[in-house]
Amino acid sequence: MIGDFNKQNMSKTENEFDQLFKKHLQEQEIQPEEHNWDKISARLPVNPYLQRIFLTVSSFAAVLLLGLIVSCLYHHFIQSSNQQHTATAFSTEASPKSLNPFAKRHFVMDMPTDGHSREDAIKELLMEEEETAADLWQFVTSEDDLGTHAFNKDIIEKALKPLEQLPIEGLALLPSKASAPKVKSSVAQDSDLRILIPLRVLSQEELDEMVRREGP
Amino acid sequence: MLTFSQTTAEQQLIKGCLSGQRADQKVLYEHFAPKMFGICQRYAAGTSQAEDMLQEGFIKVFNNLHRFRGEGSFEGWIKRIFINTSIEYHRKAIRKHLHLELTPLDDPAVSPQAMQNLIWRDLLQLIQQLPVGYRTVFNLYVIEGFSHQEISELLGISPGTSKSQLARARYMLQSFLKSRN
Repeated sequence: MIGDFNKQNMSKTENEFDQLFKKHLQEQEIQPEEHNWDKISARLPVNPYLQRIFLTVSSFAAVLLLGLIVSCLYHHFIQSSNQQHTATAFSTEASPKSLNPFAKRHFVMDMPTDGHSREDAIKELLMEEEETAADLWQFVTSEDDLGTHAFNKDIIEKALKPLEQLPIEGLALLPSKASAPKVKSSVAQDSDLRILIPLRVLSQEELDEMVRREGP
Repeated sequence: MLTFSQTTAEQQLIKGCLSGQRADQKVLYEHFAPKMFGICQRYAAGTSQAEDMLQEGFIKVFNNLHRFRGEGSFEGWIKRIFINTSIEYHRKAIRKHLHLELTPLDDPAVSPQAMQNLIWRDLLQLIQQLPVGYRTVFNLYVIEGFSHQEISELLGISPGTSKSQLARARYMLQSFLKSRN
């Protein structure tokens, strides 16, 4: 009872105390000095409308730039990733799980021209009937042709893996016969000829079919 | 000077400010500055801080004027900006202070007579002497009329902390009054 009375009494005092501050200060106006407006005015834009447009445009430009940078980095990453795959497909036992069958990949052959001029070597390589990857594949793997062409036989044999060595866990990297892509050639070094043969990943069924066709 | 009870005049003035008319901006400033400076003084520890808050607040008002949709009173909108600016000005200090350990309080009774003789300037000086956290909670609860729940959301504290800070602020104010008398 006494506790309640004290609580009520205290609450009343608190209320009076609060009201005193509220009454005197809630709507109290205090005139600031003139220099305040000068400082505010100096920080305000001349044309707020133009400033808003500028801010909107610059935000848009910043987003575009960011997108461009991300896109460039992405392409750079994909490109370097593809280059890595090319080297892997040629020189090491790559894990087919890590290869993207849709990524562009090439079988790379770097060959000395053995005294022939680069132009002659390219001409010889890109004969009309050997322009497709499949034909070229046939051309370079044919024992009869090897000795008669200008290319160094040892290097070609070293560069090319026999068909049965290419499959890794049911997949193989081979030139596409169906799509018959064009062979690209370029000069690797001063005296070398670089040939790029497009490759693709074969499914297990395709591979089985190919092995059946080629024979043991 | 323009009468701000006239909505059309207010709208025209806002339009002028939006298009960057310095004269209109100055009219708006002159009309609201005394009231807003009163608010800033309550939240600040002194005139210099209050002036910084006033300048910051008006810059925000002019830069965000296009966001005022005309819903509710214009003065209320400006006032809210100034309260937020004042809180923002001390945010780190407020949070740091509000997490200090509290000790139990005795009741420093002040005679009603002593309270009646005070004028606004005395009361303002008393408030300005409070630590920043107490001052902010006292202003928000007693003068602005926010609930403890609203204060807790504004300052990022619990409603219980808000209550204890208010009690502490009242106690300190009463102690100041007692020592003055």
